Amino acid sequence: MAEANQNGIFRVEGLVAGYGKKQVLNGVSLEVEGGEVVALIGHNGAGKSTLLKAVFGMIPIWQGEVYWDGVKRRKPTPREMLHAGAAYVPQGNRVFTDLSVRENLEMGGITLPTKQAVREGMERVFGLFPALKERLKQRAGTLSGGEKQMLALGNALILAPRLLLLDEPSLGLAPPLVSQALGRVQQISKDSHKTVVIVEQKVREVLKIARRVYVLRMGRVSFAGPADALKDESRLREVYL
Amino acid sequence: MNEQIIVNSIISASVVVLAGVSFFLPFSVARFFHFTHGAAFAIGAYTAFVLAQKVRCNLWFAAAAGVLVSAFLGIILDVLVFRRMQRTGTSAFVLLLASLGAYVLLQNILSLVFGDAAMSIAATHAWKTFAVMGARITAAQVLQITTALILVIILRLYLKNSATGRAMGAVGHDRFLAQCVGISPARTTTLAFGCGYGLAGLAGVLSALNVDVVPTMGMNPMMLAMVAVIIGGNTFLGTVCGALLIGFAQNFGIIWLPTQWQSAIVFIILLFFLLLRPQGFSNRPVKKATI
Ligand SMILES: Nc1ncnc2c1ncn2[C@@H]1O[C@H](COP(=O)(O)OP(=O)(O)OP(=O)(O)O)[C@@H](O)[C@H]1O
Ligand SMILES: [Mg+2]
Repeated sequence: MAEANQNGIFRVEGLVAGYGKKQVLNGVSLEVEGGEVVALIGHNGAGKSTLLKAVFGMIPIWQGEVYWDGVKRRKPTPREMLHAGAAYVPQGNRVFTDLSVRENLEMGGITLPTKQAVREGMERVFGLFPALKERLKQRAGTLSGGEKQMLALGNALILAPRLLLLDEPSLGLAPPLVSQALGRVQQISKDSHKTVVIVEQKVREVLKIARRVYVLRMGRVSFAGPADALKDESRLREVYL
Repeated sequence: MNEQIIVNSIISASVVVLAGVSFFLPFSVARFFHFTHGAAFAIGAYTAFVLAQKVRCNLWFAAAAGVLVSAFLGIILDVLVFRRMQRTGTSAFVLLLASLGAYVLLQNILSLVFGDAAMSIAATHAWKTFAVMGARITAAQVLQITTALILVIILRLYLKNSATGRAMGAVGHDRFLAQCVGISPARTTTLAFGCGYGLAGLAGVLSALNVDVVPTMGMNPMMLAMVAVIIGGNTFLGTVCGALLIGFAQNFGIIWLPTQWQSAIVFIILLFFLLLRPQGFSNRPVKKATI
């Protein structure tokens, strides 16, 4: 039974997953409070993307479980997670490159029950990203990196999720746009009390917006603590290298 | 004379349209050249033939059964063969080879069971012949043209407006991302094979009303369907335009060229498109090869 005080809380326990025979995650546990932004950092190949894919049901979970809103899930599916108010933006701000901005957002909202709900969702996204409204007919493949990032986020936000799983939203963005993009994520979380798990390689930038940090190393959590603790360069180097 | 060529073009085009859109549906979702389409075409025709001629069922019932059997073939092939291969990351080229193998197998089974001799539904059902502007056309051909027309309209609306139709587009464009937005790529692909092969069966049944039923009867329409999809730039309306172009070129071409060239004309058009306009009728730039 979902208790009221479990709402918005996202928890992973002893997660083991991988591809084919190759095990990538060796028992990962983490917990995110409602409305909290948590950063997930780690070297290339540490398993950050794999973790997000597994908790969202993109790949099967071998062992362990995922709790969202107090509901335990051993075999989540993307559809089920979306209906439960979670959304996932994959690595590299992936969008449907052959489709227009409008068609992309319609795909993002394909699980919504009515056309009216899709329209409302789109308006909400345009409220956050007015730039998208001006490019409704443009093919998504021709958008700039920054615009693609907005659209990828928009495809998830159209559902008004309460949990956002973001995989490197800053990937491919020019340095000044990185803090802008991450700032936007923080704002969105604050304004509508969204729980956010954000994977990032731009460690210093993400530490500014996250309250707590998990460091992943070879499929295990090697550090967990407040973001402030890592703002000291030497401490960061210690846990990260 | 010229009226007859126009009418013949429309008749040819209607077969290619039927084969083209039924080939397009699974192709646009699974993105590989599925040769088993030709088997679905022939099996639809044979099912209708057996029920109408041997069991002496009502012809409409036989036709409906042909569609259903072919649809079932599509679902079975996808679930038992293609889905498993796609899950393990098999390339489009290997999937093509697998489907070619399955096609040869199915065609041989038809040969073994029914023999290679031509059979006919057309012969025992004498169709009324009409004269349109001095050209001759049979009722079965009118039925085929009308079906093609209605089908294009219905499929267009379905792909654009229905949730499952749009899901097919999404899976075709980006399987992974489609899954992220809550679509099941596996189920959507199976649905596309079921619908597409059902319609291929329908194309086969309609052909069987006009021409002989032989085990290889699906091969030619399938090749033309592939050409239509390629010159159509892998879009639905493009495929329809490609099919029309093929139908007309085949019939008008033989005004100037010997009749044996009828098939070659199509492949000349294909080469022309591949060399000069690889994106086909669509205005999208070509992506990397999708054999
Ligand atoms: N689809 C896949 N099939 C097989 N192995 C994979 C697949 N995706 C990732 N891997 C492997 O799993 C391991 C973890 O990959 P993952 O993408 O989770 O890393 P990551 O932490 O996100 O790295 P990066 O920061 O480079 O994105 C790597 O060794 C990678 O090679
Ligand atoms: Mg990654």
